[in-house]
Amino acid sequence: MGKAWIQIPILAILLILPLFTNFYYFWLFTLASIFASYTLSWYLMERFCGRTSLGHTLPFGLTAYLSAIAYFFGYPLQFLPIIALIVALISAIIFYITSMLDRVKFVFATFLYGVLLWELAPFIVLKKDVLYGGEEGFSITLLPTQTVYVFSSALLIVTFAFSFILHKSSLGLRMMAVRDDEEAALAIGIDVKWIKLLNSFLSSLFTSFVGLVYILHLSHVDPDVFSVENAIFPFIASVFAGGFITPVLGSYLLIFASNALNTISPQFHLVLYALLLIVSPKLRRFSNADS
Amino acid sequence: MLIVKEVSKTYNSHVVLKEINLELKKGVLGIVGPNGSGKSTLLKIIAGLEKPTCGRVLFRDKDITKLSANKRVEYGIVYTFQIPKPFYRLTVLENVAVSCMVRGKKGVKERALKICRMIGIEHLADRKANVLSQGELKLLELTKVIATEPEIILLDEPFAALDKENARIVKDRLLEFKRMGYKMMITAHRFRILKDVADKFIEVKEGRIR
Amino acid sequence: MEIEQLTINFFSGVFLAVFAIGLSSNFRIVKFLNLAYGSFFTLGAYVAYHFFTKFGVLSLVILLLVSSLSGASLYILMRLIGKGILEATIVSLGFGILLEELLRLCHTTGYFLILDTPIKTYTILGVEISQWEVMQLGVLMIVLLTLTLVFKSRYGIKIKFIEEDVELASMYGVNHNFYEALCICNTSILATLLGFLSSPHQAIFPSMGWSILVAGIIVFAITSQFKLVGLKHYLVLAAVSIAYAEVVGWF
Repeated sequence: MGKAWIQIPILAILLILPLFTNFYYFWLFTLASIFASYTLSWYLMERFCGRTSLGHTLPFGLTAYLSAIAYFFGYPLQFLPIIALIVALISAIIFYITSMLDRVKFVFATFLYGVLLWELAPFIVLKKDVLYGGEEGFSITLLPTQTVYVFSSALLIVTFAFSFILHKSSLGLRMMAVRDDEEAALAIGIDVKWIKLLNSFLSSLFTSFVGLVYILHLSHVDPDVFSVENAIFPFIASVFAGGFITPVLGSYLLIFASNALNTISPQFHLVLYALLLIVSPKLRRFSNADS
Repeated sequence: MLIVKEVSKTYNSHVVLKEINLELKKGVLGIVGPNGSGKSTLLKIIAGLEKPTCGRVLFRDKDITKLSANKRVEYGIVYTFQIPKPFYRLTVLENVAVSCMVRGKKGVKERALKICRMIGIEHLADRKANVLSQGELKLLELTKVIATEPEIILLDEPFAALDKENARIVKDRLLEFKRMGYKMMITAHRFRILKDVADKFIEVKEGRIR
Repeated sequence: MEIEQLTINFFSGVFLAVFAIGLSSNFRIVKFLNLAYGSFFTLGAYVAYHFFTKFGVLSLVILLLVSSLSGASLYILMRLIGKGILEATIVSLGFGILLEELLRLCHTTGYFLILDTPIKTYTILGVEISQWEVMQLGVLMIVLLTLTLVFKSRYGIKIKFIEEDVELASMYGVNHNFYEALCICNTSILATLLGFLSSPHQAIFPSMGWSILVAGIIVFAITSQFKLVGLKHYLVLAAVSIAYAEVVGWF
């Protein structure tokens, strides 16, 4: 128990630290907190239901994309959470249906969703005075970074607290039973279908809201929001998964390491992502054995 | 109480069970038969883990053929696997606690601990299930079943892959369950191993009751 | 007009069939979804871009070297790190991204590259088909012929055995490691060759392999539903690829 509660002050430090940095680092910390929430939302599905998704760009990217399109059509910013909710529902249904496949096929299928969206997104072109969309994507109004930071921190706190509480709850225990063995869970009276649907919804819901904060932060979205880079991000950020703070720390580290590597050459961080992905089976085995 | 009526099961034109009829009103029913005779399939059909190709399963005069496995557990029909299927990343106590939840979520840890004590595995409570021996896993499987507060327990080869000592321990527990009034269906390869536990026997061979 | 479209799509289907056969054999024999397969295809296009105009047909030797080396590297990584279908797939994804990023880092002067080479064309059913596309048809024929010969030979039964149950095959003395290594290397060569042959028709860029990879996975998933083994699977896969290209018309 004691070890678990150490995680809270670490999170508090991560959230307070940016208040004492310059604008650039403040912006970067905001981005890191958004991706930390993204990883935790993804981790809800992996940790509690044993489903490794390579398609969380579906709720993440689709919310960002559709929010930008809604803004393009004149909908106010206040309307955007409704979009996040709708995308969460759609994603949950898609993930739930996909979860009827076995665990390996689930990974393949979710990977396909992400890449398909990545391939199709450039074809979304809308006409107003000129053509918008395509490879360029869509933009929304730029919000002050401080405002976005309030949203991103709140979302990170909520996602973290939710994961923490869920882990201690009876619902969490039933989810973890389903994760370990679906047939055995069914045999002791757990409604496996309902648990899987609920887990898909919760993970999608948080991810969709992360997508919303992402578009508010960057004020622009293009087809690369569905890129493989974004799809694998939570997977590699949680490679040292133990408690819930490790994926958060992993996300912060990845964002800052990416930033440092990109000063060497643009997009150089993807080499790091690729290398981490290659060694991830070993790292995961190591961290699982440790936990 | 529990009636299996004309149940058949076919996999890709291969007949596994053919027009099985049986009844369990009280006591312990031993089902013996060689490998592949259809014993496990029969228990899984009763538990709702497999669907029959045709036929019906009735419980307290109610047709439960279309009822899901988890609903049948609520009714009191619980199945144990031949190869134990614990929740490997959970502790023994969590394994039992999650099984208790079908009867309500209040005080599950206390209830779980009480049942662990009853079966005699309270010393394993904090251990992860992935470090247990085969004998301990079998006992955990039995503990999980009792935790669901069943009426009928379907035991699929509870003595499989156990040494003499562990087989004796499992047998003692089953006799205790019998004394406590649980109705059971137990499968085994041989009649001899069940003779102390079961009240009556049926033999299943090539999908039919002999 | 319809015949023209059907002919164009047919050749797209041929291209997809060659790609999907390699991808599928990786899954069936080596037991993993090779997500680096699209990057092998990209690698072939880059080899063509750099060496075809200088060395002509001899550049195929470089292609052979580069692709075998990449295939062997992937195989070694999988043996060292990836145990089981999921881990091996993840390793292959990392390897694919690494290949793609190395190509991008080596070509910082321009993202989209064009191979400027004269293209000889033939008129088939009123449609101009390039020499390179006809060669892809030739490659498909050779691949199917090779598969027929392999499956008719004494090695065919061993491959079918591995496809069905690798553990059992291993217990009966089939050296599955040899077949796995051979499969990865051969299919790597096939994918790079396909990229090489496609290079004059399209812009060359690091992520060009993803769309064909997705299409390859889709046709493979469709074909898997027929639950066929051996040569039949690959023949149906070729047919499904062509049908997919005729229906979808784009990938």
